[in-house]
Amino acid sequence: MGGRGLNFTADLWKSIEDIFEDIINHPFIRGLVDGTLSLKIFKYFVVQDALYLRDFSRALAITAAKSPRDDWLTSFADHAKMIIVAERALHDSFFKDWKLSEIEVYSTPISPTNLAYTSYLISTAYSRPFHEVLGALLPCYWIYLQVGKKLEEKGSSNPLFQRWIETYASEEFESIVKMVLGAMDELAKGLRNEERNSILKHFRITSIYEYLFWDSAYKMESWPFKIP
Amino acid sequence: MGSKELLNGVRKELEVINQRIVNHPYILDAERGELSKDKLKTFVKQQYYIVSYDARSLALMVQRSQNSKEANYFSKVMQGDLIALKNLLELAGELGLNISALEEAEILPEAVVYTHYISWLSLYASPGEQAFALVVNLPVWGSGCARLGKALREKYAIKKTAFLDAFGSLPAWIEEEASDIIKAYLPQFEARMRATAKLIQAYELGFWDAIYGRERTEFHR
Repeated sequence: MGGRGLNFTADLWKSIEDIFEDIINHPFIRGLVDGTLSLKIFKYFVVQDALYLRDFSRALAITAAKSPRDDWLTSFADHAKMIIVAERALHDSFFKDWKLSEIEVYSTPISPTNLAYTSYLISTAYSRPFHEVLGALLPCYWIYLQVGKKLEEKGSSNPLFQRWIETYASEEFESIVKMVLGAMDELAKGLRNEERNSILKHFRITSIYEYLFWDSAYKMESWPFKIP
Repeated sequence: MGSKELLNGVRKELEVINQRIVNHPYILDAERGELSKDKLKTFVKQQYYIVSYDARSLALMVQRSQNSKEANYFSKVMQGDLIALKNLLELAGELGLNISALEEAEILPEAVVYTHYISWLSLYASPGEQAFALVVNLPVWGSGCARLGKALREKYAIKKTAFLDAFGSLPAWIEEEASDIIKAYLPQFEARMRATAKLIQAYELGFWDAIYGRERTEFHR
């Protein structure tokens, strides 16, 4: 690990190719494309996604606060706000269609995988240096973009799924991801090998969480015991 | 007591210190065209440090929000600060200060107590106290900014005063939405809100005193 390629993000992507391959071939993703995914599973996924976004925006806010450069502060603060807006958009579109109120969405128990993932992000954001935080956050941006692109190529026979796919394959989202990748490459230039390795570690762990997120939605994961 | 009654009451209690801020000799000198360019630069240098850290503290307030209403509010205030940071760089440029000059500027300890207190609030205070501090402070700070901006245009022919003008014309939602947030933390946090209001305005006065060159400030006594 920790090779010094021309750009560090190329090394990062290489380190998770196996995970990405499994995400793309996951029955959830395949079901989105061929339209066979059950609506019940899709609803479960979108609700969990809203719960995830709420905490992801908080992790981004901490990242903004920790940014060593003002232009990165501005970008991450903007992203945090955009995610808050995106979260609202879910309420105004999918949840409205499904007649799900805000109270119902937020009283839905967060899944074990979702809680583990968001807790990892927030804990890393609070307790680790900026470069590690960026490493932990990056898969959410980057994998979603890549998944969105793959899905856009194929499209979905189900208009509901197609609507969701279009959100993540937009040019606007791509420019955001490019900014984060640029920041990572810029940051990596000044880092020691062990610091780069710590980024690779976080990056791979949260990429695995990305896989687990799809997987847990497909299985409609729940807690084995009642939670308050 | 409702949030509006509390806010009005506290503003009345703080009228003396608020008047001292709005009618600070720094602002009066600027209005007469008697403030030195060096002192104008001091304002910008200290604000560069302050706004940059205020924005970071607001990001932490977003993170510590208890619900989407609070997150949205602090996020919007943070966006305002980020725009202010850009506007400040324009004002700095017109005064002949580049980024290096701002980054290497000497920070006056008493001028930045305000932003350090905002950091403290972002870590330890409830969202209700945070919102209360903002609405107690921002209109007073904004009044000072509006007068200073006008003075810079009229007496110093400075054009890029957007930093000051934006604070001088705060949108109504800042107070309206804060009022709703504060309400949820009453009466539990009322005493702490009152204390917060006194501290933040004392630190605000400390900023103006420090950039004017006064050695001792009110909150030291």
